Amino acid sequence: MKILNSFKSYYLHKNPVFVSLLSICPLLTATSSVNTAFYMSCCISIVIVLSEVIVSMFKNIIPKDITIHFTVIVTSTIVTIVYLGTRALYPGNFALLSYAIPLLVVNCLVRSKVRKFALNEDVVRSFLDGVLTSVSIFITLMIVSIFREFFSTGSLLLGKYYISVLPKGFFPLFFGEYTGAFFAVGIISFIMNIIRHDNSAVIHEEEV
Amino acid sequence: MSFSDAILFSIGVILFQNIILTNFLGVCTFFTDLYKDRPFHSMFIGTAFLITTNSVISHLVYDNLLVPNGLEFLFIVIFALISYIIIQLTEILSKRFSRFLKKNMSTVLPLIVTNCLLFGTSILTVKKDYPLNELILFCIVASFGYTFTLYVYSYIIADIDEASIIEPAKGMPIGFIILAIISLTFSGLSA
Repeated sequence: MKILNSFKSYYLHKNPVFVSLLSICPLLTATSSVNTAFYMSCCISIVIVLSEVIVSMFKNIIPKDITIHFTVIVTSTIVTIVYLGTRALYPGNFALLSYAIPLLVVNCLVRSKVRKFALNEDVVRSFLDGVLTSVSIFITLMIVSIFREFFSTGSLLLGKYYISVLPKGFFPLFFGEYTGAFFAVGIISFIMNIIRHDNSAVIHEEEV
Repeated sequence: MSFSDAILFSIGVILFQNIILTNFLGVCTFFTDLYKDRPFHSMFIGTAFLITTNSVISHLVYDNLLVPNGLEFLFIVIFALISYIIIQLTEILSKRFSRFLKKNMSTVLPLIVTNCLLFGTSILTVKKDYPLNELILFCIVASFGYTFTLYVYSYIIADIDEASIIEPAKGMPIGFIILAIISLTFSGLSA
């Protein structure tokens, strides 16, 4: 219960997407349906955890002058592995993600985590930080994709299960397209801000 | 490619295939203060120079080095290295040799260094497989579209900062709503 509460405060106040404004590109590119968002967040988790662990393993051997190039090569190698693996194992999803996966090399979240955290901390802490970041990015992608899929088709496709709530054509297809991506992220970050303001108000009252 | 084809292609790339609004490249730059009070032509020249150089070199390397040797799977590593090398070389060489580039680069480099604009455009152009003349036109026009959108956005957000909007909507939410409305306007012109 304590872990859950501390995760909730981490998610509200140190959220990598809505507070630090990192990693907006996959949030907009890959959330048109729940299915793609799930696979995309799996890819992000693999890239973040592996690159943080590998960089923090070798941080004492690498000379200070070439750390940036080293981190770029590590991240892009892992992204290549993920890219080829997705193409071999999930060809159906690869068609939708083939543009979004290579962009993980220059993803601001991966870059900032690797540079600011993994280059200064030991392996275990880097691993835990990678897991925490990927869980929060997973939740964020899921919220946005569920919102967008529900308001564009009126139904939800979760793996093999198809939940139809409203008849097809009830909503316009607006949120499934790229214009709707901006609207959806704007509305959800607005709601997150309201929740955060309420929470910080409660904390202030308790302190007083 | 005739002149009228080039005009139609340019309008299409600026309005309907805008690299920010349809491909979501470089959205992070909209939420910084770096673009404020920067002249339009200087931002456009800097962005166009970086994007065009990067995409042309990536395209040449991909066609002449990777494809003949069967190494297409290395394109992510190679493109990432090329974009980093180009940014560093431009920073060093423009300081040393070209005053014109230095003046224009200093406004753009902080915006572009850490984002997906360069890398994403080279991935996009390799996927679309343009010939070289269309590639150069695409890069220049796409950077014009990027700067144009950034400029429109900066004027709107300057007015929004003075308006009285509620506290939770400040910052990221209102920025995304403005971007959505700009995107809706541009896509409405296609019909």
